Amino acid sequence: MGKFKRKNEGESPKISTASLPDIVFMLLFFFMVATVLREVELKVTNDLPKASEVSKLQRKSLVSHIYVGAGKYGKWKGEKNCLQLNDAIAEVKDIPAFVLAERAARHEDERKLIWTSLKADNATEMYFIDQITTELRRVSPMGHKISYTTKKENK
Amino acid sequence: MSKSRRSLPEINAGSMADIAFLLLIFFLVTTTMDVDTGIKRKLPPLPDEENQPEQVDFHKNNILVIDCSPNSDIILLETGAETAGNGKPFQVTEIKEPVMMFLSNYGKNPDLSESPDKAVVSIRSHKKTHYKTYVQIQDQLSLVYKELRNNESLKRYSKKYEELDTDKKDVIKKIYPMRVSETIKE
Repeated sequence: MGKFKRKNEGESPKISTASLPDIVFMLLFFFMVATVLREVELKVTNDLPKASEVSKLQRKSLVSHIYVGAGKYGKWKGEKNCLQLNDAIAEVKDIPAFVLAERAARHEDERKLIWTSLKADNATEMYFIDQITTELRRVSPMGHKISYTTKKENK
Repeated sequence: MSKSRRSLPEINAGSMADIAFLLLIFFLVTTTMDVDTGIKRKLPPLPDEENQPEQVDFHKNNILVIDCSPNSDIILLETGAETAGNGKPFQVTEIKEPVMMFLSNYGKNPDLSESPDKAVVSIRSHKKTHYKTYVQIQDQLSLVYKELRNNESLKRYSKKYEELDTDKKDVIKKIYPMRVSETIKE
């Protein structure tokens, strides 16, 4: 009966907070590792369209990005259809060189696995997208893998 | 003299948690776990002398034309059998049903496709059509094909399409190949 008698009734024991920093540090390290700081500065508007039937692009190292949108700064400000490769505004005719450079930067075995992620703004006009895809097709005699990057929309 | 002999006072570690929290919140806010998601497609190579696209004599009823007007969500759907510009207007989000009907027609309606493996969907966008509309169309097409392939795979293997192994996937893909052609009109 008196077996489980509480020792000091009415007074709840204090919880030790000594391990709190450890827990917080653990979380901190997780987020530090998971954080990807944006590598490129966007010089075009990039309001991505939404879609529901999307799939993830695995292996970030094998994705090359093409940004399309309206220019934000300098002489491109307000221009509707601009193209950004890496860090600079480029022209459509620069795409083949860009794709080839991206290919050359990867190991030979991995070149077939490169995906191009086309990050185009909602308001981009289709003739411009067509010019871009035509250039991509020109440099890929075996077909070009492309992903129309979108935001995920839940139905 | 006497001071140096005393043991060092302990540093209060109570604020450690606060510092860690501060850093944690900073990283929480800046973290973008941006995994790229997108609609995957394979672009065919440009045709040249050596590399001509397969010339198939398509019956007109096997072609479904999705015609997008500039700056608008309304698009026209027509099969090749109808006279051009005679399609019915649809909202982009509503094209799933008619496309599905077109693909799974099996020759019942003479205006629609003979069989899904002969059917071609042609997206004809205007020069100034917004990319948003185009992506929505591609999205809807993915949805249609996913559903058709899923149904077929459930019928044959009683499994979902994504769960099949590659050989069986290829069988289903042969029945429902995704044939999309894209053109820009002036």
